Order: sequence, then structure tokens, then C-alpha cells
Amino acid sequence: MPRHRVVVTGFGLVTPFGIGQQVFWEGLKAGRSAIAPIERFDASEFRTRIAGECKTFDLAACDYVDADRVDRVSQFALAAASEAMRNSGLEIDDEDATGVILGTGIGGITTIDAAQKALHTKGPRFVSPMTVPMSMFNAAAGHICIRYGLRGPSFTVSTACSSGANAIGEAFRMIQHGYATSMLAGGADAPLSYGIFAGWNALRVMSQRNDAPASAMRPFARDRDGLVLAEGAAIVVLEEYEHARRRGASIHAELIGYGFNNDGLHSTRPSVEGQVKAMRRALADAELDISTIDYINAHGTATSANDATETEAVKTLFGARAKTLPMSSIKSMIGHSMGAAGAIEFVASVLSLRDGVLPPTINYHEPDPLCDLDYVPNTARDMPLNIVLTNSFAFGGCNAILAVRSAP
Amino acid sequence: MEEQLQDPVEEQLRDLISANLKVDKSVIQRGSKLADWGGDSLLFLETIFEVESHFNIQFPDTGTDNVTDFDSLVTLVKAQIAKTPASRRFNASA
Repeated sequence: MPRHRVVVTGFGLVTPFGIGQQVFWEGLKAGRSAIAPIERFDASEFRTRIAGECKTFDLAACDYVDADRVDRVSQFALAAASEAMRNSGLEIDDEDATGVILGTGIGGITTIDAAQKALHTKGPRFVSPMTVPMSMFNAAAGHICIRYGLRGPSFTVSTACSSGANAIGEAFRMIQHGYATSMLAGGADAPLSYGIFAGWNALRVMSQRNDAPASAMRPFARDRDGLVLAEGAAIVVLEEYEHARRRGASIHAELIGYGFNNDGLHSTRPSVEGQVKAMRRALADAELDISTIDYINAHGTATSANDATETEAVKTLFGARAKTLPMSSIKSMIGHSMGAAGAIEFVASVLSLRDGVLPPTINYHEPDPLCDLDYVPNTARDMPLNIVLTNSFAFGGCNAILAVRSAP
Repeated sequence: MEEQLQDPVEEQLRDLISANLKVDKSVIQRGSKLADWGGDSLLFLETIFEVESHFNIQFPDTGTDNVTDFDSLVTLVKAQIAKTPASRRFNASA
């Protein structure tokens, strides 16, 4: 069955750098850190007290009448969607062929936390009737459909840290196979809520460099001590190529491949074999040879297991080419925003292609013998690019890879 | 009109409804119908919850079925406040 070509015609973001693509891309290119002490709740009892909070977030960015009646995760998604719609200039010509697929790792957890607190401190009748509509995982996608009058394919995927990448991949398929002509797709997460943060704290995978937040997250470096949890959202407008061309849209890049699978081995431990297979599927989907890949936007979570496994997987797949294949982790600057990360990194990949710039892996000073590739250390690098892979790996064994090419 | 504004329960109800339904406070008056304020059943439920929380009262399960206008809501809230011991209310001044 012939597949339609799919291009990226717009994107919007909420990241710890602030609202919008400009502060995001400037921050990444400058190699700045957006990590800081936690202000949303009292973190004094936790061993990790830093995060990538979206401290300057403003509800006005949602451009939605009911923005104050949705969970923080939906607010981020609405704000990212608003920028993406403006950026794309898309006018909805067929509401039934335009939809929304989002990814989220933990949905409206702030609402769940508030309900639990009310339940246990005051009693059952103090749990708000808005608890269910605000916390359900598909709330954000639903509000975006309401805001823009979209009636095409819409659902929400939850594959932990690969949710955003899976959502973009699924929306890609919707357009490829003719179920839609335009899709808003991406990820959002707002996991900086007291209750779930306690869970992350207990998991002992977060950096404890509380006194040096800007240099806390050190992907691929020998002295890495874990991830920094973050929040945010990224949404892209994907469009069928001819549809975009006919309306004279600015085309930022072409999405050409999507590979995904499950390790089937362990809930939290990553697998070289699973990651290799997922990358290979993305390449096969795009009909690409390994020699065509110019850069990898890495998953790079700065945990001991992830970075060594991801490095090994890239070396296994790319062989001798791996040594000269640059791969960087923007999480070193903005932290790990869970279900949003894959979508934020997809946007970073599109910007890399558009501008020929590789964002750096910052805080990289001590090489690790187990991580011996080119991680674009500390400073952005100018490099003309044609094809980029972006990796997302997740708890639950999920892997999702997207392949994206310069605008046709 | 002056008399209405001096009633603290009514005044607080008008504040709550106006904030929840995003309607101007001036349209929430004696004699006005709930349907006149816009909103849907979910918004109404949310508002009822806010009213219960604010006055620390609890409406009977079917207590709000006959509430169709501002007057009947005021009457119901006042009745529930009267039934709820002051020690269990946090806005005792209401």
C-alpha cells in the first residue's frame, strides 16, 4: 500500500527554559542549564531537591477559556499546541481529517495527588468532581480537539519516557495511511508533584547534586549520578506533504521513519538488543542504510545503566561508524521530562536539521570507558545535517525511534 | 437589592458561582435561573462541590435535584448550614 509523505510544518514547546521555541533553541545552542532548586513543593526531606521546573509558565499561553480548570499537564499541552498552530499557519480545512495524538507518562498526577490529600486528610466527600476529568490521560488531547474543533483520529499513548516519540510515530502512521491529512502530535508531562516525586526519590535514580543544579545532570560522563526530573510539553504539526505544499506552508523537516518495540525482559533495566532492534526498525521503515545517519539525539538520561546501554546499542548497530557519529543529550540542560522528552527531542532534532547545529551534552568532563562515543561535549557544534535519529527508551521496556530528514 | 448584598451567605454564593461559571456577579440575582448563567452539568457539579467545601456542608444525595434557580440554592444552603453543627463548619461566620 502506498504511503503518503509526512512533513513537519509547525511546533511549539513548554520547557524549563520557558514558553516557546525561541528560548528553548537559544538555551540549547548556548549550552545553558535550566535546572534549579524545586519551588513547587517543599522538597527539603528528599535526597534530590532540584528539578527542571517550568517556573515562568503562564496560563495565558494556553489560549483556552477553561485553562484554569485543567491539570498542569493539559495546560502545558494546550500552550505547546497554541504555538504549534500559530507556527504552522494551519487552517483546519477538514476537521474529520485532523486529529491529536499525545503521549504522557503520568497524566494529571497533580490532580490525583490533590484528591489523595483531600481523601486522607478530610474525607471522601472532599474529593473534587473534577478529579476524573482532570486526571484522565486523554484529557490534554481532548482539550486540544475542543479548542481547535478537531474531529479526526485522537488518542493518548502512555509508554513512560518514550510516550512523546510514540505519539509522533503513531500520528505519522495516521497520515501515511490516509486516516488524516494533518495531526497535532507530541508529549506532555507534569510529574513534579509531591507524591510521585517521593516515588522517584525512593527509586534512587535522580542526581543528588543539590548544591550545583546547573551541573547536576551529566549524561555519558563517568561521574554521572542520575537524572534530573523535569516537566514540559512539545507538540508538532505533522502534515501530508502535498497538503502542506498546496497551502504554501513552511516545511521544517520530513518525518521518514518510526521504529518501536519492547525489550520483553525487565521493567526498568534497558536492553542493548531491544534498542538495536528498535533503531534497525526505524531505519528499515525509512529505507535507510546506517551510513546515511548524521547525528543521533540521544535518550541520554545520565543513569549508569541507560548511558552505557545506549552507547553499546549504537556501537552494535553502527559498528565502526559509531565512533564518528555524533550523539548528544539535551537532557543535560533541561532534565528528563518523561512523556514529553521524546517530543521535545524530536523538535530539537528538527531544529538541528533546519539550522545545522548540534546541541551539546553539557557537564561532560570525565569520559567513561563504557561511554566512548562523540557526545558533542559542552559546546554546540555547527554541522550540516541531512538525516537525524532520535532515541527514546522507557521503563516498561519500551523503545521508540524516529528518523527525520531535512525539508524536501 | 441592598438587603441582598447584606446577606453573607448569598454574597459568598454569588462569589463562588461567578468564579466557577466565569459569569459576571451582577447576573447572579434573586429570581435568576441556573440555566441563565450558561455552563453544563459538569460545571454545576463542580460548583456544588465548591459550595459544599466552602460552607463545610453536605447536600443530601438528591438534594440538588430541585435546584433550578438562585433562590432555591440559597434556601438549600441555608437549610444545610442550619442542620450542620457549628463545630463542623469552618466558615462559622457564614
